[in-house]
Amino acid sequence: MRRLAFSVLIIGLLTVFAVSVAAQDASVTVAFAESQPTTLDPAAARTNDDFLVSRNVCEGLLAYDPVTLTPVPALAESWTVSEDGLVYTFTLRDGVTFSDGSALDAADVKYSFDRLSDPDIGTSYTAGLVLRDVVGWAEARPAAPRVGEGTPTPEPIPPARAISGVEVVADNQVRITLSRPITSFLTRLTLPGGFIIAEGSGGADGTVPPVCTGPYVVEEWSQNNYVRLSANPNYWGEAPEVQEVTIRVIPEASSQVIEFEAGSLDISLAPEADLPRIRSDATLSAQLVTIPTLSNYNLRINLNDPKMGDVRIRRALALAINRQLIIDTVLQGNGVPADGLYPPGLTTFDPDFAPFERDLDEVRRLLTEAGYPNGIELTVRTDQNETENRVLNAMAATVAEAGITLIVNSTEASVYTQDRTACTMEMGGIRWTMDYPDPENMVVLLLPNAATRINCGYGTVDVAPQIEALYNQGISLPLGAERDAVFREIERIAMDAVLIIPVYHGAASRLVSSRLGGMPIDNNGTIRFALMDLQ
Amino acid sequence: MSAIAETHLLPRPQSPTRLALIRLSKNPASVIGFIIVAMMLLCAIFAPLIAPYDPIQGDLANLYVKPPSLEHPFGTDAVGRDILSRVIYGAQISLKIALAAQAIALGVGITVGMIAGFFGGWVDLLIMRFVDIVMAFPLLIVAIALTGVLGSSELNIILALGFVNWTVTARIVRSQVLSAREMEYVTAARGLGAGSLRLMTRHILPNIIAPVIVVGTLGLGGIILAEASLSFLGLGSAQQATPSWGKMLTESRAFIRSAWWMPFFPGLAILITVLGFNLLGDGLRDALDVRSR
Amino acid sequence: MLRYLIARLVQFIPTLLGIYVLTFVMIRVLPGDPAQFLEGDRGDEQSLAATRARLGIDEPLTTQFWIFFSDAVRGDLGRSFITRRPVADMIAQTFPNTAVLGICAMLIAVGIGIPLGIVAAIAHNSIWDNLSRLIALIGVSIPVFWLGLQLQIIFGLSLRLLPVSGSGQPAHLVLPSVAASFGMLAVLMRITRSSALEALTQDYIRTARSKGLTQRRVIGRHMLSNALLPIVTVWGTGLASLLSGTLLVEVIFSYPGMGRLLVDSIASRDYPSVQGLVITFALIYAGLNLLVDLLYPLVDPRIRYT
Repeated sequence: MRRLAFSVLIIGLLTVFAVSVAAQDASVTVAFAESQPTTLDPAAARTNDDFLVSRNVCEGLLAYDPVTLTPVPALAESWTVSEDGLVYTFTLRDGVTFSDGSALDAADVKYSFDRLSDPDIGTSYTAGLVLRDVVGWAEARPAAPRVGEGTPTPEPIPPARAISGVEVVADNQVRITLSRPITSFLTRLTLPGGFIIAEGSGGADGTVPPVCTGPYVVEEWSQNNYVRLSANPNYWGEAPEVQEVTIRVIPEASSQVIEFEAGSLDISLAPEADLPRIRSDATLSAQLVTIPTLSNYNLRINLNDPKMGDVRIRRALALAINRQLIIDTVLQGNGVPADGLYPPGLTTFDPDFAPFERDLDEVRRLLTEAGYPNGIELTVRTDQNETENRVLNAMAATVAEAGITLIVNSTEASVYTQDRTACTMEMGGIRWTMDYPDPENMVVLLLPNAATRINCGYGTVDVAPQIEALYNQGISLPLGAERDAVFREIERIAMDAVLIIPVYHGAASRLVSSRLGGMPIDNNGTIRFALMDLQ
Repeated sequence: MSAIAETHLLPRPQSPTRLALIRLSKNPASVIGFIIVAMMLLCAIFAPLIAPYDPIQGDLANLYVKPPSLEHPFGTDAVGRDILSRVIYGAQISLKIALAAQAIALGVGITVGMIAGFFGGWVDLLIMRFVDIVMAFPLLIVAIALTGVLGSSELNIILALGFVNWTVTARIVRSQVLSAREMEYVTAARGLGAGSLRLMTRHILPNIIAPVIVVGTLGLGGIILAEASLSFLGLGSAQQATPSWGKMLTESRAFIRSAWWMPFFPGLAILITVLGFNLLGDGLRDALDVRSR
Repeated sequence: MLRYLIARLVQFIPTLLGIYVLTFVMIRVLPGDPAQFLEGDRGDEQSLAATRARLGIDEPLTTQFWIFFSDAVRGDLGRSFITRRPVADMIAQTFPNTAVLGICAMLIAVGIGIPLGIVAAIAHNSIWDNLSRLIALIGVSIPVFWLGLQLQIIFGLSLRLLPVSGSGQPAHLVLPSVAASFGMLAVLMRITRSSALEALTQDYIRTARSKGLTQRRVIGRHMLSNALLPIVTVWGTGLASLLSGTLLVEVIFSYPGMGRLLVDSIASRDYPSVQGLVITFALIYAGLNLLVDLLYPLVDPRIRYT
């Protein structure tokens, strides 16, 4: 028996050496950033892993430019907007075929948007971002009747399962009517929810790959293992150089690095903890790519809390944080200090806007004025994201110098979200990664009803009406200086009242194999196989 | 054998407790176990005196992830805190949780086990079915449920661990009571008119205490491991500042590549402490002459 | 034996029912809302309510219970809230992975633990005995996830011998199964050693020896067969601890098994998935216990099925 056990062990060890790692010529192997996709269906896509597949397989009427992130024509060749900004008419590109060879027409577009509006298919996050300002959204997503409303309890209104604001005008023309003029609509059409799939395709659960027009098709999804893509032979655009793609499921970032170093991954995450080592290694550091993310890590505040309701205390905390030290140590340089709402990369970003320059004397003065001359104890809640826990602990260390005892209380994500909704905390950490590059998407953080579940006192604070009025004015203005000025004004008001305490705008590091040229990762942080050159 | 030798050597007859203690002290393994447990207890009680640095407040600017050195023998972590100090304070939390949870587990286990064993019949059947259910239930769910319902504190982790561990005691106590019930002294006491409660507390309990002590000691090691596992999965005590060993392991996971000392020392502390309880428990079992099955 | 089997299965039904009810209640008592998880931070109150309605979690608890329960009785475990796939499919996909890991770990534990125990017993009080006992002690005292981390550091990162995570190739199984096997290995070694020691002092062994049987035959035929009963007993309880151990091991090694799925499902409050998995775990646990009980009479003819 002992002999058997030993031979089992030896066989096991031998198989190790048999593991081949060599990557083939026209194929690329990468890994999902988090775990694995929850769905292949663009209408239900809501995680970064979902987006990675959808964005390489499907396309929308518009796409974003990989460098400037502004909307550019994709399946729609051109479009017109009515004078009042409500009616958009899109003309489809000629000669576009789906991966099954069928031609794209307006009926496919109508089908895709109807499907997106169906609550059984389109997740409300994905669908809402694209369709919430389109006529018919209210009928497609009727509100559930509240318990105790009317007697007897009214029957729920059935959803329309179609969106009336999207209409076929001609074989190659689609008209979309909005319920209010909103200039970010075109930007939002580039999101996965706006992707067009062939009429009749797409299953009920997300395991069936929908038929799309993108440069790749899904060959196989081996659950918890990998997703395999291959070049779409019927692609209407220029054929990509990379023919085969394997996206592996490797949830631990440190494991991805090991696989990268072993040559079995072409792109891996590069976690902060490993950055010093990677930077000191000549081969690895040459392959390190850092891309700023359009995000704002901030402390969201319960404005109804007796302590945090006092603007002096909020300002004291905001002024006490040594943002640069946190970025230099915990984040290993991945990020820039945040002093306002907008991250660099947005047209509304203003490098000179710095209301929270660290000033410990001012902190003590503010605390004394607020009635805490001997320092104050505050609690910040968070979920279990390891980086953020380190950030908050580091923050606690820096604010301690100013007499603020910051207790970091981390719980399971669902518990945290629940308590945040119930407003039972003083403040909580929020990583807000923008859904689309428009300042409007950052301002929703401050609105009373757009993000209600993380809203404790944001609707009743004295500057709320002012912010809302400016927001409503800003969203309908055409992109440009006038619009930016409105959004900057919102930022100034919000930071004057310290409605959130911004900490940093993040950046993400990846290791990208030197054999990948071109633009393997776009400025949105998405891996784009069609943009890669093989060296 | 040795016990007889002792009685010959010593002038007067020994009480069973003393005999057990003597036997315990003759066993080098249990002495080592005792020393480990005693040392960890001292660490826990006198943590503020022993720990060289503040376990919560670090020096981020100068001590971000530094390898072991003379000033910081266990190195420092990602917030610039001294890991040695955190490990010492960690003993406080881990032992507090383990002892409290075991107290609950023993209390509930003994009560339930005695009731089941003593009354038998459908009471026994019902209780043992419930024990089966609890035993087949993942600890993880219980822990999250309690965290949620009771808020985040050390209390819920204690309750969760107690809830899961009482079943072992209950089973052992029940089987002990089942056999004790038929013993002559119990029958005699019953004949003399002793009531159920009196029978259980005065006559049966003292006779089953030895296996309970052994199970209790051995179980402490298991509870420390379970607490560490829960912390590792992110379900431990919520406050980041309190350095539980399991939590320290979780925090250091990202650093296994770049800073081996971060996961190594807290894990070693767990290993040694659990080892101590196991050695002591094994020694107690031999000393108290409790059959393993 | 068949009768015994049927009786045991019938007895198990109320336990299973109890587990189902307890899981159902507990997962719903948990703070947190699956709809909220699905919506993220972006959705508003309206879409949240709509999602709750779609998932069927806005119904009264009793109605929900009845729906879930009557489906489960018919073998339908429902669809995952998150992936929208049938829970039964998700379990069918992850179960083989967990089973393979568990079997590998068990083979290692049995293959090393029992021989080690016998060696320790034969060479009683020698250095080998002490060494084996030390290994056994460390085995029951080591946190399985810490062991996993150390194995990753040594074999994956420093020596680069084995992959530290994933699945698919046999090499992926080595480190996780070693980590998962350690606890059971220790228990098996201890019990083998003590029952072999006990057997060695028995009359029949002495007789066998005096009859001039070789050491190997004494060990092989007489000692082992008598030490088997306690080994089988421990094997049963050991399997249970192995099962909970694999959960942590799966998390550490990113291994796509049922344990990791359970951890993820709890985090996302995926009620149908959690219910299905807990029931599956309970069934496995009960099945293994039954198997052990059925093995007793085969090992020791004095025991009968009752």
